[in-house]
Amino acid sequence: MRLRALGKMVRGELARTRGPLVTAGFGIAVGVASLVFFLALGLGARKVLLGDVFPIDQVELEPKKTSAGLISLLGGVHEPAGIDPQSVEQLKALPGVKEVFPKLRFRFPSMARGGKEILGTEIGTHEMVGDGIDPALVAGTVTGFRDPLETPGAECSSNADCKGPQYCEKPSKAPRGQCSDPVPALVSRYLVELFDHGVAPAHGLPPVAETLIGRAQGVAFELTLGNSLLGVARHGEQRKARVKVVGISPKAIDLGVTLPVEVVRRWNREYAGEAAATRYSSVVVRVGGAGDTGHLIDAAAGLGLVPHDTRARDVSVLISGVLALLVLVASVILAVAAANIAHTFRMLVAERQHEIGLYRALGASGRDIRLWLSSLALVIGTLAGLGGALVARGGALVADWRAAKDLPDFPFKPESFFVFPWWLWLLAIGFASVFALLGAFGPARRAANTDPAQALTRDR
Amino acid sequence: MSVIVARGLTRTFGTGEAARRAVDDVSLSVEAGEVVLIFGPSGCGKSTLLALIGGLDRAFSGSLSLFGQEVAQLSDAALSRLRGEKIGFVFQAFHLLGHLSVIDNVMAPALFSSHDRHEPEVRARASQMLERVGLADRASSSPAELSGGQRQRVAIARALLHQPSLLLCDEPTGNLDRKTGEQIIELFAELHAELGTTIVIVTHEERISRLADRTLDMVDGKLAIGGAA
Ligand SMILES: Nc1ncnc2c1ncn2[C@@H]1O[C@H](COP(=O)(O)OP(=O)(O)O)[C@@H](O)[C@H]1O
Ligand SMILES: [Mg+2]
Repeated sequence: MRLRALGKMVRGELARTRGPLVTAGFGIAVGVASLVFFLALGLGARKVLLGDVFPIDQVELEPKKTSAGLISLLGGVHEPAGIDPQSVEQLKALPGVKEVFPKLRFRFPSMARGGKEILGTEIGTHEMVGDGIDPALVAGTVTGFRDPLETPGAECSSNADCKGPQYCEKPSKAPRGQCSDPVPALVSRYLVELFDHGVAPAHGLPPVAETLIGRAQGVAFELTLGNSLLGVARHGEQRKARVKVVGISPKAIDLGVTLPVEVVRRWNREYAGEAAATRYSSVVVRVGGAGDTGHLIDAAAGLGLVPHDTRARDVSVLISGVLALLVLVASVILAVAAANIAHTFRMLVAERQHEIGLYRALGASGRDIRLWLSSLALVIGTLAGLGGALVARGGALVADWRAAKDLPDFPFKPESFFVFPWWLWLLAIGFASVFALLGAFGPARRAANTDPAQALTRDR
Repeated sequence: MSVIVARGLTRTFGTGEAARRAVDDVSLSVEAGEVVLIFGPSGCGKSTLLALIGGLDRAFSGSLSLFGQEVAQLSDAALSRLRGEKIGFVFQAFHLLGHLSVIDNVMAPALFSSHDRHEPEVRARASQMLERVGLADRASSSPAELSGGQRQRVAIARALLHQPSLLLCDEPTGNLDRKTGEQIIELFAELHAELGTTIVIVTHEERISRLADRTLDMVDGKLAIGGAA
């Protein structure tokens, strides 16, 4: 049978049996709508939770905590273990590893004050934490994130010797220093969200997220080195440095500030000695996919490194579990819909006995008959799948609109809770077609095997 | 050339105790251009025999060849193609498609043919056939609006769409009154004279016999040479 004739027969049947076929397709559409809705919701949750909150494709590794115990307490000097550059190279060579970025934690007490430009008032913290990363890791995403002493200014003995926003970077006990631009800093989206939805409302301050992203000159604050609420550094003297936030980056430390690694290296050397300057406190490893994480963690254990945080994997497993359950529910709906299609087609075939017999007499082969009914099911499935997916899309828009209107603001509240990748549409249509075909399979085969002689000679 | 050659053709319905031979050891050959009438009472197996020689029923024993091809050796697709291209059927109950117009009914065989690519050409041919059976003005009517005789004419036009070499008719006048039946028989006679189509008609009505080159009698599934012709 030619395609044109097939199209004509399918169209004819759709027009003739509209009611029952629409009803049968409706079941499929409902199943597909729930399937697509749940999948899009799961993908949306995964995107926010694993993309922004707990990135799944990256693992932060740190040295295994040796029990410090009494001895180190008594000894008074607790030297935290570090990761040497050699281990970093070994991690880079592991299969599945895409990127390795070592971090150097602040090994000196510090405090911060600032924020007047965007908040209107000074705010501060008496305990500042932070780390340093290689600027190459954020090249292309943030501008101006580099060691300011790469291009040092004039010699100085105090800030008064320096022009404009520059300050005098003069290490402890050094007779003279060098004028330096404010040290660029990165903050995490996590910190900004926490500030905007937690700290700011409590203190009646404006949110900063938009400003931080929008303002080229950034937010400046003053970092006090060598002193904090918890104590004074053993080596070095208390002094002040200027810092300027240049961007929000997923590579930044969750709570604190991330500076160019060379700056932190110098300050660690100044306040905590040579080991603190060369041994990294942790490394963040980005892998190709969530599947590579397991291998990485096994390999890292061999280097004496353990993951800092396993929440990402827990969340991933949780989302996958809930998603699997919802997909199961949708599949049951689809299976019921397929049974419904099967019933409708059985009725259709029974009603068309004579007609099918006649078609056979006019030259239709059994295959033609099967093709006709299967194509009919395919068209119904495709339309129902597309319809169901559109309904799910509409439902998602309504849900997002309600969420924006009715749900209170919370950290990481996304603009949309759903993700509709292009393949989800194909999946919807594919699933619907498969289930419709599955339902029509038996009746279509029975129709193809209709004995034309009997259909034409009996009755009527 | 023989259009139909059957040897020991048998069709059994049911199994075991209930087995019944509706067509019982029939041997028959029909030559091109012949008009053969098979005559017998209701229930003697005429329709069953016609389904066999029309390639609609393959569950037979014995041998059957159509146009020189062994039916048992043809695939379903090949046999269907043979039916579509070379055989036309006319039934007692007309079997028109109620949801299609008259002309679309006549065009229906083209749905399953691989030759009829060009729809306007098929439509023109269907119009020609309708004209031939005297229904040119009813092309866009619904079959339900036609009388029995007109419906049978539509069915005949449909059977002739592909200009078949063999026309198989199962009680073509069975559902028609006497006068209309006569007209249909007249139409068959004319078509045979014009086209030379081989025609096999099964019936239990005597009056068709004047059309036939040959008459056969069927009793209880068996075929005998008839005395009427
Ligand atoms: N599909 C079938 N199943 C069982 N018996 C059948 C079937 N078709 C026909 N028969 C039987 O075969 C016999 C011949 O039937 P049929 O060929 O229709 O006779 P006719 O056309 O001469 O009236 C009848 O007894 C009928 O009951
Ligand atoms: Mg009969």
